[in-house]
Amino acid sequence: MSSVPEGDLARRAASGDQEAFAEIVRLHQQAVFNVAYRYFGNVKDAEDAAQDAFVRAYQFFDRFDVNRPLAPWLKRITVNVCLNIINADKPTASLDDDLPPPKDPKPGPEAQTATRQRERRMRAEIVGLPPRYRAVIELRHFQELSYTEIASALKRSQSDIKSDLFRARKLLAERLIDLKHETSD
Amino acid sequence: MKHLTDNTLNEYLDHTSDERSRKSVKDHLNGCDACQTKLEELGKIFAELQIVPEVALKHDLTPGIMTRLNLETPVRIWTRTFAAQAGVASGVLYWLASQLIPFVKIPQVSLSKAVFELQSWFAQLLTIQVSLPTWQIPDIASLLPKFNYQAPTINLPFSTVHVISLTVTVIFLWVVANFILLRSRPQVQR
Repeated sequence: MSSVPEGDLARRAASGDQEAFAEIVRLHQQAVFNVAYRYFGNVKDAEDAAQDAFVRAYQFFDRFDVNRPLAPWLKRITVNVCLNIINADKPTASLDDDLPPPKDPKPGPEAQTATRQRERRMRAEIVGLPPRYRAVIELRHFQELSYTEIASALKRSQSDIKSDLFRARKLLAERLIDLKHETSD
Repeated sequence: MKHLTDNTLNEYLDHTSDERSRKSVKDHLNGCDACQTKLEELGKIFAELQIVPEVALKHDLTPGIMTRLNLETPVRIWTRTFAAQAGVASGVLYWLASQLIPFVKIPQVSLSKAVFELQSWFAQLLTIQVSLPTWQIPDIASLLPKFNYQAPTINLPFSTVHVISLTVTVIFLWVVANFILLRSRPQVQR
């Protein structure tokens, strides 16, 4: 963990200091990678998207208010980068067969296996959603933004955001119910 | 009985509805099993999304990103530092010019005379005839008409000591300025 306050790092990075920006990357790469991983479900595409997001953040750092926390801004950039990659129809890999290990693993091998199965199923369902639904699920459930903040981040109306979010949840609920039926048959 | 809409249930779980609406939803849910079941189904999605943990990165992305920054980001010359340096340099130049201009003596030549001189010079230029053997290089300078032109002069009350001091100062400033510009510093590529 860096001993330099984040605000100082942001100020230095905003004036073009690459060493400060490298420190910001080290501090936030885990969070940014996870946003992209929830989006693509595979390590390769998630790493590429995380790199794109940091490069874009560097190019637009002069627009960032250095008095605000960096993480939410970087995560929002990552969501937009992921959306752009998908909208550009760039070929992406399929969901990883083996999930990377969790950052904070839970104790107990049996509990771990059950949790990993549920986690994998949920990740697959998220990745299977249409891109715009994925974006609102990410911003609402993982980044805990309000409807207004999501609308601002995605440059869409609040009513559109609400509509997509509620439909995404409904779709997830239906798929999870279907899955339960399949496993119980 | 009119059931709660999907929007109302979602807003209730998102805690975005106001206190009055929340109370009205709670009252309805207490007496409606169908809406209670729908709310529980929706609530399960919230819980399932909570179980998706952060995964660990297998390797540091920093070197790759820093390499891409140098390759992909255009060099931005117009930085704040550069603007400040350009401002100081312009100020010094303005000051020097304002100090020197009073000493510049421009010869008094009337416009009509200057135009006449120029016309005469061009007229003479057209009359030049070169007929020399091929092995001899023509002396063009001696063939050109004489132009009666008096250059502006600077009448500074400088002694030799002044000139030497000024030269040394300029050389010193040039060396210092180059040191500042070329010294090792964090890159300003953006």
